[in-house]
Amino acid sequence: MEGMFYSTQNVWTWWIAIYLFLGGLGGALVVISCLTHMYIKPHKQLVIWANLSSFVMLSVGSLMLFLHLLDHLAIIHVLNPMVLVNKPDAWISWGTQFIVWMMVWSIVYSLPYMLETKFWTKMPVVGTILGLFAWVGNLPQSIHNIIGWLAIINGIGTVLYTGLLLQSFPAVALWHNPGVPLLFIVSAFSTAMAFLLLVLYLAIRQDEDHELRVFYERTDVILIGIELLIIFVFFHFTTYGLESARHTAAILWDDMGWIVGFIGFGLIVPFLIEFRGVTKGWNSAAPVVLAAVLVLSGGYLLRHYFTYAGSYERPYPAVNSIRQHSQAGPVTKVVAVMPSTER
Amino acid sequence: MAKTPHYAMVIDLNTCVGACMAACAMENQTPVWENKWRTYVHDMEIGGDNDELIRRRFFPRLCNHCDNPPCMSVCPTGATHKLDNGIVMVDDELCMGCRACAMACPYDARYDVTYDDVDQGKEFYGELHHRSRPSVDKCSFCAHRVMRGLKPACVETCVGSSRLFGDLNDPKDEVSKLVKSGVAKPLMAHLGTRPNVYYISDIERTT
Amino acid sequence: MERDEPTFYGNGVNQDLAVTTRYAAIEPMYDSEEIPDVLLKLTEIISGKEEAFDKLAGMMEGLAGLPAAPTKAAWERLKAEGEKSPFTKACREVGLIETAKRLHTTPENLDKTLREKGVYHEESMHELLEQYAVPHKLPTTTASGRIEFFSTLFDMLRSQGFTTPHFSVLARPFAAECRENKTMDQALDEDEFYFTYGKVPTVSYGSTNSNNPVLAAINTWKKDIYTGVWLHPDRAEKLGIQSGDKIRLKNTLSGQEADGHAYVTRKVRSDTLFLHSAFGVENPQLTRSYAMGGTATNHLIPHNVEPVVAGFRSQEFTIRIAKA
Repeated sequence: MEGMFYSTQNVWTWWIAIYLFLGGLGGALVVISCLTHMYIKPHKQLVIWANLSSFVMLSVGSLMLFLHLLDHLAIIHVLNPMVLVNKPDAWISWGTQFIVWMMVWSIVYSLPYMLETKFWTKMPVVGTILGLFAWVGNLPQSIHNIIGWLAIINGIGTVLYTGLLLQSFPAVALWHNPGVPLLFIVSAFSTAMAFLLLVLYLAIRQDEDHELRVFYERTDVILIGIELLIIFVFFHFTTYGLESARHTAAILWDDMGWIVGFIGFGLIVPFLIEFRGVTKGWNSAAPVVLAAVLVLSGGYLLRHYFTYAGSYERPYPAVNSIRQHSQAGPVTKVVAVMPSTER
Repeated sequence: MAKTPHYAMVIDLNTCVGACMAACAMENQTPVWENKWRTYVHDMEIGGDNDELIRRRFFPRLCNHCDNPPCMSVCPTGATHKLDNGIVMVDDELCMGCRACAMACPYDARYDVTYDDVDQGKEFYGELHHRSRPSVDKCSFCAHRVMRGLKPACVETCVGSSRLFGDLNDPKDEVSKLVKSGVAKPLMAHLGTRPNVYYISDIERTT
Repeated sequence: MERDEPTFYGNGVNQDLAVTTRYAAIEPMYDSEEIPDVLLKLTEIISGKEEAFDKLAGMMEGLAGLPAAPTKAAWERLKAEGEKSPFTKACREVGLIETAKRLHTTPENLDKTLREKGVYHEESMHELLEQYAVPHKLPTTTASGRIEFFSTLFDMLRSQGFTTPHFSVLARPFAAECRENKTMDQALDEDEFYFTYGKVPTVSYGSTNSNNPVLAAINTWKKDIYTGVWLHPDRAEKLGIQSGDKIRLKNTLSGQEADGHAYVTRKVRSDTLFLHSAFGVENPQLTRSYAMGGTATNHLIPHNVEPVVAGFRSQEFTIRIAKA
């Protein structure tokens, strides 16, 4: 067939980017907080902050997906755990189960610590509900650790899912490669570190957490560094390869939001700030807080651009994927349809 | 016992004039008022470089009923499924409309049927309207007709005999012969989707 | 698309000898009536109600061989039964019976075959050649017994006073006249084009099926291609016109003017404009096709009748365009 057309999609847009961002961030938060609490430094406040934030994030993220479903009632088919037997090849099946069970186990894991906190027990409604679960606080430590690990496993699953979801779409070179899950995993943990740094600096504010903060900063610097390397790999992959990847490259590397916004302010600037913090240290918390905010913004931008810049190749112009179909103008052999201006 | 058929379609681009969209829409009650169809016929201009002949080409497209359908593997509810005869179907009772299939399909064959489309369909298609739920719909090779021994509506209505429908498991079938001869080729076979819609282009035509 | 043809006729495209007719694919919309019934009503107005049917049916019998008496009987019966277009249906009914009789088959079988196959085969091209092919059957039926490139019909017409070159007894070429005092060899002005037009598969001009919602949806999808004035990019560029631009068209011979939208495409010759003749509907009752817009060809094509067969010289002029 002569001539191919390249087009981006308008099916999964910003709301999926939010879903992927909050999913990855929330999943990584649970993993990091539980592991920190169990193996690095017992920190009940951190667990409560991380796991409840994660709960809120996943609720918001899942709500984004739910609101955009065409048939809301049919969601029951993926909430039913039997979906893993019926459709084990679909990552949304796994993802939904991971998310649901991560939310459940992370909250169960946090319950004993919430029961110890007057803020929560005296809160109307929540306090009453917590009272019903007082028995969870009396479970032996080993059971509590098992619950923690259940949360961790489902958290890792959630993080992995956010990357594998895009990887499962074979028509788009940008998505259909093992770099995507890797990138999303690294980014998820990096944004989670950033979020926890914000919590430690702005909410918990304990001097005794200094070492933990330094540890998170160091890890985050490493993760951002790896993320930069992966982005370079993607630069190479998209620029010198399949035509649809090159179309993606043409979109990404011509967009200041991607270059300056994501790579500049989402990766390089926070990398430099945190690098200096790790090597020489800062006198105040402000630079690290700034870096953390930048990392979080970058985390969203990454997913935003990944959903928008995925480019399909087709032997005919797109219809469904772009809302305003236009055939105006002479059709040349290769037509580049840029992403919609909706973003 | 007769072998289970493996249905496929061959489209001869030389004789297409683009008449099938209406027949399909009426048969399958697609939300045409929203410009949503199960089959589209693009009106394209091809050739023309280096003094080649410039042609107007009608390019029909539809679900390719892949043997390795990416829309099916990503479907979390099992709504998208494949029949033994090769037809890929959507069960609108199961479909929750997450659109992962639309993202996965290399052929842009999936489209939304919303609550509004269902409601408006009742007005548009009247008492015969058969859609009751939203879904991410697509061509079914008119499975309901095929099972009664009929051809898909688009094939039935095709004035140029551009669309042929047949059984790849029957070596005597015209479609089967065209596919085997290599004259009819699938779209984007390199993606590994193993599509069952084949095209005969101007250049490939031998007769 | 929405009508049963009132008659049965030879199959024009295929070289085999066959009979065909048209079957309605969709229901007629609104209170539209078939053309024969409309013509009958016109005849009633012109010739008086009493005589109208006999005159029209008599003429049809003379011209097309459809017997008037059974047609009248069928018409009166169908009218009494409250049929919507009784005259058309009567012609169809009688036509089916008569054609079947000629083909030595039953009307039911003829109808069934036509519905299923589209044509009823009488004889194949090869059988025809076997019987009638000239090389086997010389001498020919011409006056000289040889193949003649000479029209006895035109010879007769000439003797009746039709002596313009159009009635030449020998086949001869005519230079088209598209401009006043200019030959076809002379270059077109920068904004000047020849004109041609064609059909779309979804609608015939002005008929009620142009308002069919599904067909209208296809037209909407292809609106730029279908309703636009096709224009070659080389010429469009010089005139500063892009696809979608509103343009003004003017017939240089008749002075007729119309508005349209440009569709710039290499699918048309650079010296010619092309238009689909199905659009530019002006009847607001046809809400969908009215809203579709487009340019009506009758705003550009003058009443210029060709003298021999009285067809329209619908492309013998040039058109100037300008950005509106």
